[in-house]
Parts: sequence; C-alpha cells; structure tokens
Amino acid sequence: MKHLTETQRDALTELANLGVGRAAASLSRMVAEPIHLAVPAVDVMRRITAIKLLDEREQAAGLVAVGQGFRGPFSGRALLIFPEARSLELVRAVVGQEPSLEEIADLEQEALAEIGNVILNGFLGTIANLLARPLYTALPCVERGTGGVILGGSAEKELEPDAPVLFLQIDFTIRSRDIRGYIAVLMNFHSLEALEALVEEFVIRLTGSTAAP
Amino acid sequence: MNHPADVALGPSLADRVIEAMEGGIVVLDSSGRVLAWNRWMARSSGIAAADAFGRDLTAVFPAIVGTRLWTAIQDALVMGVSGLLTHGLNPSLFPLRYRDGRELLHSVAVRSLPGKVEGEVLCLIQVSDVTANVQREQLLRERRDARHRAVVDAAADTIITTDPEGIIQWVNPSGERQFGYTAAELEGESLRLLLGDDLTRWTEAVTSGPGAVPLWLTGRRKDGSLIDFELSLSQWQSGGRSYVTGILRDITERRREQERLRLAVEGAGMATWDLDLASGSAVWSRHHFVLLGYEPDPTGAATLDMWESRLHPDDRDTVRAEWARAEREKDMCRVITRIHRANDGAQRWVEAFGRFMQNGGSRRFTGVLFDVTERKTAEEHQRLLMREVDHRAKNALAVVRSVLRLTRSDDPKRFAEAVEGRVAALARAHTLLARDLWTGASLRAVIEQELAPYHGGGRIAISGGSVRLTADAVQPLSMALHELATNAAKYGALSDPGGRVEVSWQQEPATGAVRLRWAELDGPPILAPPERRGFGSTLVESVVRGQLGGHTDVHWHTEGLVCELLIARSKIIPELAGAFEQAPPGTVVWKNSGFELPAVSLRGRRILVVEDEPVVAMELQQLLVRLGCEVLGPAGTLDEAMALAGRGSGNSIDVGILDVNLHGQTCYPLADLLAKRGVPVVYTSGYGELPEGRAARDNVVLLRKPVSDRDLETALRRALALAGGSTADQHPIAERGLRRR
Repeated sequence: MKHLTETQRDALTELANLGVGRAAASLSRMVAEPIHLAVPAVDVMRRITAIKLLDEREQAAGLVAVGQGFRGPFSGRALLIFPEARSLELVRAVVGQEPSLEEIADLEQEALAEIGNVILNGFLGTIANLLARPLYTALPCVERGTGGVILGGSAEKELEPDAPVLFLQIDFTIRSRDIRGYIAVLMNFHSLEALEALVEEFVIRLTGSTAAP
Repeated sequence: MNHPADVALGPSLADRVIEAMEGGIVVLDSSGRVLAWNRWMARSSGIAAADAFGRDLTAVFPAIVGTRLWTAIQDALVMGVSGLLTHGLNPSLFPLRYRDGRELLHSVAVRSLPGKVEGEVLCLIQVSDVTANVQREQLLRERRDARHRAVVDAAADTIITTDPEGIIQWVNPSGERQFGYTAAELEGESLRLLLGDDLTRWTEAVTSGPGAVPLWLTGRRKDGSLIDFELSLSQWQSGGRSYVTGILRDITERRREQERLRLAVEGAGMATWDLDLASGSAVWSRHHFVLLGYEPDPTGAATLDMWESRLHPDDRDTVRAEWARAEREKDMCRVITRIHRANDGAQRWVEAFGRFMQNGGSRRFTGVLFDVTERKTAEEHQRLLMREVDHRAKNALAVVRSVLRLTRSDDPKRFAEAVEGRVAALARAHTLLARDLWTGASLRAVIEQELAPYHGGGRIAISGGSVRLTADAVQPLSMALHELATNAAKYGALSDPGGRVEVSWQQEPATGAVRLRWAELDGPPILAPPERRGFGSTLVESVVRGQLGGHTDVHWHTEGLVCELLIARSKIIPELAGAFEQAPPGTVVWKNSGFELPAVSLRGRRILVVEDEPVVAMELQQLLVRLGCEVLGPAGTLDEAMALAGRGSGNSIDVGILDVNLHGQTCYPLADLLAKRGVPVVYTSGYGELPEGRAARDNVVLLRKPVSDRDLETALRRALALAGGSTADQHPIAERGLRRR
C-alpha cells in the first residue's frame, strides 16, 4: 500500500477543508444558521483497515451512510458516514425540528440524503474544479449497516480488500452541537494515481516550483 | 415529447414511459431550455407541454432564479454534478398544485445527462410528490402533541415555557387562572412581569442546570397579590433553539399552614429541634437557642453538644437512659430535666418530647422542648403546702388531745365549756394562717381575733407596731390569749361591765424579742393571787416557754392582772429594717363602741334558728332552751326559714340566728327581711369573714363555728343591745353565775 507523503497529506487536507467549507456555506444558506464543517485529518488506507477503524471507533454501532458515485478523471464512490443516532441528530439540527418521533422518518432520511449530497458535491466538486474538467456525480442514496456493509460487500462496490480508501474525519458544528462523521472515498488504483497526480500538481502550483501544463 | 426525428414513427417507448410516469420529468438542454415536460408536470404546474417547450426554464418559472434549485441545475449542466433538493430542507421549489388547488409538496432530483452530441450535457429534473408523507408525519406529530397538551391543560400547576432570556413563549390554562392574565397577554412578555426580581433565580437555575434542590419563588398576580411557588425546571431544544419549561406549584396555602404551625409552636412557648444522628448536627428553632441561653443562629445551626453541655450534671444519666430506651423501643422520648442557661447560668426546668425518624438515608431525632420551671415551682409549692397542712393537722389534733387530757373539771358542763373554748381558739388560729397561706400572721390580727367576742363597749384597747409571727407561733399564742381572755371573762376585768383590757407590745431593740403586755383594769379588785394554778395559767406558761421560746411574768395587782409574754425573736418574721421602731403605735377600738355589754335578759326571747347542719341545729336549740329562750325552727332551708319568718310576723322575733351558707344558698334575703323589721341578726359561719357589705352593717354579729354557749350568749346580748331592745325581764348579771375569784 502506497502512502501519501506528508506534503501530499497536508495538501489533501487543505483541499478537503476547502471542499467541505463550500458545502458548509451551502448548508448555512439553506437553514439560515451558521454551520461549520472541518476536516482535521486525511489519510489513504486499505479498505480492510478503514472497515476495522470504523467498527472500532464506533463500537460496531449501526452506521448510516450517504453514498454517491462519481465518474471523471478519477472514479469511485464517496460516502458520508455517521453513527445512526448521530445522523438523526444531524438532520434534526439542520432541519431545526423538535426531537419528536423516536425513529427517523422518511422525510428525515430524504433530508439526510440531501445534506450528504451537498457535502459530497462540495468535496468532489472542489477537486473537480482543480482539473477544470467535469466530474459526474450520481444522485445520493442512504445506506445502513456496519462498516463492512457500507464500505464493501455489495456487487456494485466489489473491490479487493487492498483497494485504497481516502479516509477523512469530518466535524460538524451546528447550533452549538458537535457531530463527528467520516468521509470515505472508494477508488481503484488507477483513480488513486490520478488523484495523487492531481494533488502533486496542486502542490506544485501552490509552491510555484513548476509551471502547470 | 416531440422530437423531430421520431415524428414519423410516433412516440417512442421511452417517450410513452416518460409521459406515463407518476412524477414530474423535465429535461433541459445545455442552455437551460425545456426539451421535455411530461403530463404529470403539465398537470401539476398548470403549464401545458406546448407552452413550456423550447422556453428557458427561468421564463417558465421566473421565481426559481437565484434559488438553490437553479444553482443545482447550473451545477448539473456545467459540472455534471447531481443534486437532491428535498421538501424538508427546501419548502418551496416549484409552484405546484393539485387540481383542487391544494399545494403539492415535492422533492426534486437534478442530474446531468449526456446529450446525443459528444460533450453535450443535458439536465434531467425529477419531481416527486411527498405530500402524503408530510401529512402523515404531521398527523403523527399532532397526535403526540395532543397527548402532551391534554396533560399540560389538565395540570393543576402552572406550566410556563420561556426562552433562555426569560421571555414567555407559552403558558398553560392553570397559569392563566393562577396569575389572572390571558395567555395572549403573557406571550412575548418578560417573565419579570410574573416573578419580579425572582426572575434572576429562574435564569440562574437555567444556567446552573437542573438541580435536585427545589426552588421557591414568589409570583405576582395581575391584581398585585402574591403567590408562593415551588419551582421545578427543565431545559430543552427545539428547532435548534433552547427553551426552559418551569412547573410552578402553588404552595401559598402550605406556607400559610407552616406559618400557622410555627406560630402555634412559638406561641405555646415551644422550641423545636431536628438532629441528624449520624453527624450530630442539628437545626434549632429560634426559641430553642433562647431557652438554653444561646445567641440564636439565623440558620438554626446547632450541635448535640450544645444541648448536652447545658444539662444539669445530676440529670445527664437519666436523660441518656431515656434516650436509649426510646431509641431501643422505637417509642416517644420524654424527659424533664434541669438545664443551666449558657448566658446567665440560671437553672430552668425543661420538658422535651422527641421521636426517632428514618428520613431517607438519615436517622433523625426530632422534637419539641419547653420551659416547665413555673410548673415545677408550683408543684414544689404544692408539695410543701401539703406537707405543711399534714403537719398542722397532726399538730392540732395532738394539741386537742392534750387539751382534753389536761382540762380538769369535776363539772362536765364546765369541762365541755373549757374544751370548746380552747378548740375554738385553735380553729381561729387556723383561719388566720390559712388566710395568709401558712406563711404566718400578724400579731395584731391574732390578738383581735381572740378578743373578738369581748369587743363591745370600748373595753378592749390594742396597740403596738407591725409584727409578723411565724406560722408555728400563731397557734400557741392564740391558745395563750384564749386562756387569758377566758380567765378575764370568768374572773377578771371582762367579768365586770366596767372592766377593760389593754393589750400592747413592743420589740426589744437589744434582743429582737417582742414583749406583749396584757393588762386588766377596772375589774373586780384582786385581793390576793389565786390559791392554785389552774390549767389555764399552766397552759399559758408552758406554751410561751415551750413554743414561743420566751417566758411569762404574771403580776396580780389589785387593779387587775398584768401578764407579760416574751416572744423569742426566732418566732418573729423580720420585716423591712427599722420598720418596727418607726411604725406609729396604733390603737384599735372595736367598732360599735359605746355600748355597755347590756344587762339584758335572754329569758323568754323568741329566737329564729336557721341552720342546715342538723346536729349543729340541735345543739343550738338545746343551748337556747337552757338560756330560757323560745326557739322558732330550726329551719334547714332558706324557703322554710322565710316561711317561718313570714308566719312569725304576728309574733315578734327578737333575734335571728342565721347560718350564712344554706346548702349553697346564702341567708341574706332572710337577713334583709329581718333587718327591715328591725330584728337583729347573729350570723354563724364556718368561714372567717362576712362579705364587706354585710360586715359593715350595724345590727350584725358574727359567730364563727364552732359556737360555744358563752359565745352564743354574748352574741345574743350584743345583738339585743344593738337593736336597742331590753324589753324582756331584767336580770342582774350576777344571776348569770359570773363569779368572781
């Protein structure tokens, strides 16, 4: 498994923060309340490691994910993941609804998909912007299950255990509540290489050491 | 759908599917013009496909410009990004309605589609109807809210919701009732309107979080009156905002009840305590501190040691034993103990009632304490008095026994007379002592009392300063004076109408003893001292020596007997220093002076006798018959007596002898009747005195029971003399058997 250099990781963290920052702005406009999103760390790891990490950190509690496929210079599937209880809290914080019904209702699930959509579009869109080429994204859908179910297993997502995952922690601050979630981007090696090249290019552009093509 | 290439073939399958879809489908070209607009969309928007085709979407729905929906469409067209816009987060997307005009709630999915030409990007917009979902959730929410509202509306307590700053958001019907405002008047107002400065306690409770300790607040009604509340608070979030809901329970009545109880407890002079057995710390009422002589602590904080250290050392073990017993037997603990006040060390008696209680996790000992010093003093006094009465009674009986044994006479009549007189003297001494609660008696009173039967005609003169005798000296002195008076009446100055007795005394400055002088004057001349000493003089000498701690000097002067009695200082109750020397010598001359003891005859007098005690009545009757009188009655009741007096109005009644108390009635109505007819009255009574108004009348003689013949005879003579009647046969006094020595 190839690891990112420290510079690359810093750059990716920077990019991710730019992306979720844009998403936060969209969400804030939607609900007319300040919403802050931050990505404290980014890493690339094997899928099997990501699954283990999720299940350990969240005590194998039920997870909820908003998943969205993407296609472009690099392709894969991006997932915004929360512990189930937290996802409910997030929706209700965003929607501003009373903690009313015990179970998440249809509309709340739909709203969660929209919130995930805004965040993932912001994240992916920012990266696509760097390429100045379109990155096609699919409509979001909500999935439930353990880390293993969410990060692999289904035929569509059938990837090797060693397949790379770009793994980010994402912190929400909404109406004085802090909610922690994750973004996992599932890719193949080819896409990862493309992403790395992109990041390298971004680094060079930032440091100004080499002219962009 | 209308596509030029497909016109000849008719609508393709795809076109037919799109048309039939239960949901809105709109396709835009890369410049945002409408390429497809299905039947659902036409129906819900009210815009026919023909009117939408080829037009820019912003022209069809001008309102979408600048919305997130428009941004999502742009993103899909430019960047290929798909977007989801839900009703929950985007209340107004397209202006869609049902045919009946109801609003059609919907969510929208926006995605990019590759066009037929390479690089061409189209935008697909899918609209889905979520109206049913929204309504279903609303219904669920309303049902739940209705359940909550039913509880809140039915609550007897006031329930108020405010924001964190204390602005009232909502109030339940009980709140409207209790404060006298309508909900509309309150909503949007600061809670200060209801709580005044206590608002800070509300907001403080909010910031410090839900506490276990209940809060007490005072609220103000619209009419200005106050209500005391117990407050419990909870904080909650809704729509991302914080709210505070408080439940206010009216405890005005409970407070009032507590206050009444406190007043009752304090008014009854009770102090309360509440002791935590584990820690030894206690809470005392204010009065508890005062009772034990401590400075009251405003919080009531006290310790067990503060109590124990005040206990009288001799009582500590008793108190502890009772404590242990009560705790062991789960019984009420009751102790009466002496304490020494902390401030002045004064000893007080206190009584305590306490009970052990299990209160949650703590064992407590709670009770009341009160000062019983007064009661204990009274009890002590009572006990002393009982002992004294017992002592006196035994003493009196012993004296009576001696009198009986020592009185010598061969003549039974004279024996009875002598005994009667002596016992009567004892009874008089008792009367005097009882009047002053056995604390002693004035010397003058003793003398006046003993000489009362002889007080007619200014024959008795009494003079001397104020001297009080101790209780144990009163009876012996009475006896001695009785003997002297009896002797004088039989043989000395009082046996002669012209004779006089002067009684005087003075305190000897050197010894403090009192010298009492009995001098008889103008009586029959004494030619020589008596040949033998009678019991009388033996008694006088022995009581003065034995019981008055003094001695007697007897001088048989020709003019009359002079007897000096010395009463020891120990039998005198010291009065204010120097009072004796400075007191002007007083002289009492009996009232109605000026009358000679008249030499009137009793023979043939008609005497009305009224006496409810049959034995006494019989004795009186016998006495009167012996004196030669005619007896009317005896009557035992007032009615009977009134009847007799009425019948007797034809015949005259010379004297009425009336028992003051007739089976609980007084004889006064009869006395008044007789007085009107000018009939003199002799009262007999077991009590010491007549009421003021009766005693002051002229024609009144009082005989104290028991009555001796001599007393009766004297009294009758006096009464007749007072009435001015001497119509009956005149008899020389000598005939009455008065004999000179």
